[in-house]
Amino acid sequence: MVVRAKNPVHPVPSSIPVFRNTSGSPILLGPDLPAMISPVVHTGAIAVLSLPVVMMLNIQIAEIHEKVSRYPPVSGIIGLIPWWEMSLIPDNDHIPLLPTSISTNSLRYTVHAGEIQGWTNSETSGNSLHTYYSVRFLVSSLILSVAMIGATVLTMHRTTRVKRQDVFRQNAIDSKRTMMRRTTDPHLPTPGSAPTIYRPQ
Amino acid sequence: MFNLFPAVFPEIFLINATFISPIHGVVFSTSKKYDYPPLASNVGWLGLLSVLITILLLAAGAPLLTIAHFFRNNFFRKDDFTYYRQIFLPLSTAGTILMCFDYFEQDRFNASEFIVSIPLSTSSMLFMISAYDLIAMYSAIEPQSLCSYVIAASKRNSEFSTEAGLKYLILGAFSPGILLFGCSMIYGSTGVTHFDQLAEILTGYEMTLFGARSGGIFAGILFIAVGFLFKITAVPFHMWAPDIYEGSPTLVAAFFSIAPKISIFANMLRVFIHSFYGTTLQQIFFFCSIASMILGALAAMAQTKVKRLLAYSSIGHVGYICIGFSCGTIGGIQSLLIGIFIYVLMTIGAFAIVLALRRTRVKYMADLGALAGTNPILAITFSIIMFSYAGIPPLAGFCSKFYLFFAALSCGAYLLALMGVVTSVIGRWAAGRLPGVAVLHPCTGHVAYQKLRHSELGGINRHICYSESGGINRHILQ
Repeated sequence: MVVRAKNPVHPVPSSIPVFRNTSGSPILLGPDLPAMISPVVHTGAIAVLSLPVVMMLNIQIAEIHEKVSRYPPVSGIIGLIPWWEMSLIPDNDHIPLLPTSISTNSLRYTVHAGEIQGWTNSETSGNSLHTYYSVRFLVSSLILSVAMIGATVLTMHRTTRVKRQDVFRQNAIDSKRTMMRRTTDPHLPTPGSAPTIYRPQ
Repeated sequence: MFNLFPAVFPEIFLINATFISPIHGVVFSTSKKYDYPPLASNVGWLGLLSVLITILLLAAGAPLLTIAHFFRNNFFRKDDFTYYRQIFLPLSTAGTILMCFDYFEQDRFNASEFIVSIPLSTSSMLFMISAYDLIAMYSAIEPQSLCSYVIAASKRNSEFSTEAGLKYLILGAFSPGILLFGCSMIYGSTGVTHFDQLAEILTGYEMTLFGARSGGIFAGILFIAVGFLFKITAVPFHMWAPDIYEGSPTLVAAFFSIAPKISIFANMLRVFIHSFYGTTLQQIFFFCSIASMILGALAAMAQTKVKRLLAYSSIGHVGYICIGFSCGTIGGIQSLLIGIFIYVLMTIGAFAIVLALRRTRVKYMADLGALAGTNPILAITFSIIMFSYAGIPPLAGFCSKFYLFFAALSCGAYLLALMGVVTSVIGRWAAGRLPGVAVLHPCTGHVAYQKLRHSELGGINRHICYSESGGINRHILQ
């Protein structure tokens, strides 16, 4: 649905299940912290900020010009490329599909017993990410801040015709002076008197 | 070993300044007390100032170079190479920002956050130049590209600009994806991401049938190369670059063709010549540079719009610069660096002139027809710049091409040098079209230019004198 939608805006919300599903794989394998952070970052930052940008397109014209039948050949070829890579290149030592693997003694025995630590995922990643890799971490936060600033720059439309709230003015309203008892129609009863039925003359 | 924060003071300063400037812009431009001033130029000058102060901080960081070699496992390495690149980059960015004040006035452009993207992109490019680790390199490429997408789409009432921004977004999302895939393959096959450690592992690693090869490393290097070639818009991967340059506002196209090229070439040098040297991908860079040169020369001949012509000229010039890259020798690297320096000066000049003439909507080349009559100095300046692109002898462009071809010949890449000379001759016709239209074949229709501001003219002319005299001096000092 992300790839095949005609309307250019549909892929962005459709990618939310995609991110959710891809975070299921790390949950099953162990690293829970990245599994939880990745939908937050992907959906909450990236999709949310790319949605206004996609909405800048002129959708009616974009939909009319779509001829879906010309996409499958090329996209099929491109879609086959990651499949080809994933099947051929990893584990090339065990399953020699490419002519590059000559070594036949690639199976090694690794002792993992000494490497076990009773740390949670957050502790482990915090121990290296916030100390040794802290500057890299901060640089990647630049990316998200640029996304925020960018989405705002591109889509905020501040003219006289766009209605905006003025929070200070709203807070300055004093309810005692704003709400008054007035009769607007002499036929209507004033509040407090017995209710009568209003019949238009 | 922990990171040494004083070494990144210039970047920290630039990022802080970049975040404080839009706060200033937002607070004051929405304040009723000052009558809602439009602050785009104001924040622009602040951005320019912060970039210039960053240059000072970089220059003052020179003593850190002597202890930079202590930081072995860290993400950056500041040495002489990065020193000069990092000073040159904010200088060229400052030149680009200078061009944008007139653009703000003309278009009554009020978004003060537009300027924010340029210093932010510069700061991430500074990180990119000194990056010494695959993760650091990728995490610095991303903010730089993201800022570029934003400013490419910033002309809101033009769908052309939105199209250019989206094309750049897709191109720039795809190419770092490939780059990152390559980085992950390399990490998976070697277990390290630091350039020094990669250099140690991959030294003497021959890509022959008789050695023990790893498919992962080969594919990883290939993907990283492809990702980088996308970013510098070299030929098989240049597909949308002319559209992007044409659709974005001219100032933004100037920024794209100047600043990322410097930083990405610096990073490519680090990656391919330092860490991946033994496993050379010379064939791919040969092919890309030959194809870029050919395409740049041929496609530039068929253009009718000025910005597309400049885009194809820059693609062609990237091809020439890649000659220096594919040689792999010290002479090649030196000629590459000289080539980038001169390319940046030429491009700043060319875009400055196109921007100066924007008042009359110079979009097609025929619009330049009456330039010789109305503003002969500008016509001569423009001719000098385009001749420098073409490589006419006493000018700087010829010197850069001379060094590049010389380096190619000295390492035995005769085909590269031959193709370079041939396409340079072809390209001379293309690059000479603009001055030809401007000077030799003036149009007879009514084309009117408004009076240029004196400051623009002065800036452009001074700049040309510097670059061309630089070329002459180097030629003499040989």
